[in-house]
Amino acid sequence: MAVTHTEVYRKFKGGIARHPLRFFPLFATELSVATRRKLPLILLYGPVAIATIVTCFIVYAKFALQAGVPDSSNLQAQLAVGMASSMLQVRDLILQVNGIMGGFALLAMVWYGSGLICEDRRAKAHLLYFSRPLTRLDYFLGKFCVAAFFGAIAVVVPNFVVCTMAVVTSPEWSFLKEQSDVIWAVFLFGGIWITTMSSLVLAISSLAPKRVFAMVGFFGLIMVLEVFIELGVKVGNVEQLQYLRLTRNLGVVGEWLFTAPGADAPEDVTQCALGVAAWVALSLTVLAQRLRRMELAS
Amino acid sequence: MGALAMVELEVPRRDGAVAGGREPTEPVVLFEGIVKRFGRVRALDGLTADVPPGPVGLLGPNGAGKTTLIKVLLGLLNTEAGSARIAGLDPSRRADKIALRRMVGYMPESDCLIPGRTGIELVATLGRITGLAKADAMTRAHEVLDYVGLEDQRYRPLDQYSTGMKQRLKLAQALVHDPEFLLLDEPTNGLDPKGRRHMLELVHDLGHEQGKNLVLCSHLLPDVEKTCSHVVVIHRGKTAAAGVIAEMTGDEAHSVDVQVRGSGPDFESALAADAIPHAENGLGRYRLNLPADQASADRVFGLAENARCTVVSIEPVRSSLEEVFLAALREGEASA
Repeated sequence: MAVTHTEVYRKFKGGIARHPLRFFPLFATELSVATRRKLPLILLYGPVAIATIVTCFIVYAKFALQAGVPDSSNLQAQLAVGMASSMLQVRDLILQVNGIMGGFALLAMVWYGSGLICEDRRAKAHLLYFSRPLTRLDYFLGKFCVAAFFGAIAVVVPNFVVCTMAVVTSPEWSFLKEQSDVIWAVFLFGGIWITTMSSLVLAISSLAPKRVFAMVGFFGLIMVLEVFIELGVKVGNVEQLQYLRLTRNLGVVGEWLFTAPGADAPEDVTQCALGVAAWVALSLTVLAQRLRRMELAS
Repeated sequence: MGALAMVELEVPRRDGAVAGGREPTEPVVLFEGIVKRFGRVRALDGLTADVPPGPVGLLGPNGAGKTTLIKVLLGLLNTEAGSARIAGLDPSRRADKIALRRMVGYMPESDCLIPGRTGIELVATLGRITGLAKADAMTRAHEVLDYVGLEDQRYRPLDQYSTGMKQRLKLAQALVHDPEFLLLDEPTNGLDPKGRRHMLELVHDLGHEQGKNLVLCSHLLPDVEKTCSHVVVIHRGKTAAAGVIAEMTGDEAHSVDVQVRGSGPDFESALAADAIPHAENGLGRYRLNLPADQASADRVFGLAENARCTVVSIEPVRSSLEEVFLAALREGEASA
């Protein structure tokens, strides 16, 4: 008789919990695997980090100039105050940095998010997940949090660091007292941006057979849409088509969120917000369908 | 490393009971008129079957509907008609589905492993997803990887695993939460003889020594015969045969093999005089068309004594599972 297997099976004496955050282990492991390779992290987040440091320095310089010269009758002090006031407001700085760094943020999110679902499907790993007490919502949340995490590092964290610098360096906490709405705007805009982009990246990932196709698909979709919308607006004179421009819509919504209280909001912010909501709804619908298929028709 | 022990592969008892003394009782899995179509193809065509506790083989040719049935049981496929129950839980109901997945370990047929992770990471993560605490999941991952013989490869990335290692890893992930039920879909697929033997030993151990209720899906009859005491034969989405393997193969014992020492022609004449149909197999061996019971044995001994021969052996002739399987398929085709 065969006597080759020599290990003993051990019974598990612990318990199986029914905790509500079932998605968390999936999120944690995906994150750990994604961050294993350091080069993409450095390449994608290096420019964002540099931009954040530069912006922080500008904010520091602005408030240092204001705070460092108490005697405003002095000519030098007047010059310094004049320079400081002529520098951009923190809210405008953040908007500008967002505009410049948006591409990197998008690239980072697409890089880390595009393989999240399609690679599972390709390897049929979803069979292992869905044969466990994991619902489609748990699976979605696990994947969404990964994409959102990488988006947050590129969008929310730098802006929050800039705000923190402004709070700390502003004389007598003036930034916190007078412009605290900027901090809320940072989180709100970050939330909208991350939700929109993560949903879209995951939706395209759920449709693509491979990660590289998902990446090409995402940028292809944005670019092709831009061309068609431009044609529609210029040639067909259909102005409403521009509300399908995702990046523009997000820009307008961001501009509105960072608008100083009392100042005029962009005219078409409602349409742009609806445009963003439509994209999110479309992405989530696609995801719901695809995940259902992954679980039930696998 | 786990403690050393010797686990011996043994043949299931002929009465269908398993080594742990567990006798077949109420079915733990029930299928009632399951219909599942993929387009025009009826993968499951009103399948009805009861699966008793213990190791059970789900046997059928490729495309018979075995994997589909397993997926129905896990709630991974919706059915057009019929119902399935596992330990009283209905996989088509959302709440039951989650509950039953806590007590089932599933080893899929396909690879299912994402490159870039290590074996220990994958097993521990799946343990955590099932509901184990972080420390428990890691401990269990080490234990089950030891058990399946992957203790030295646990930190290797999955893309460096051989087919045999992948199969064992899939078994390990199915065992990480120590489930009551195991659904093993073609566990010996793609394995070399040594790997296959090892896998069958593991499956045998789980079913017979560890008391797991396991369903082994396979189209390989020897695999089922070696590891299971019960079998459900599926053909074209229907149950073609089901029962205790020993009983099914013993049903055909209407003949006995007899070996005698002495005058062969005299023994043959005695058989002919007693009108017993027989065939000579050479070297004093005869196959007699007699039921395998005590009366037949007495009759044979009497005839041998009259022919001045000595009976060396007398054994009932049992059909192999392959014969039962082929007969079931033939019957299925005839009824279709």
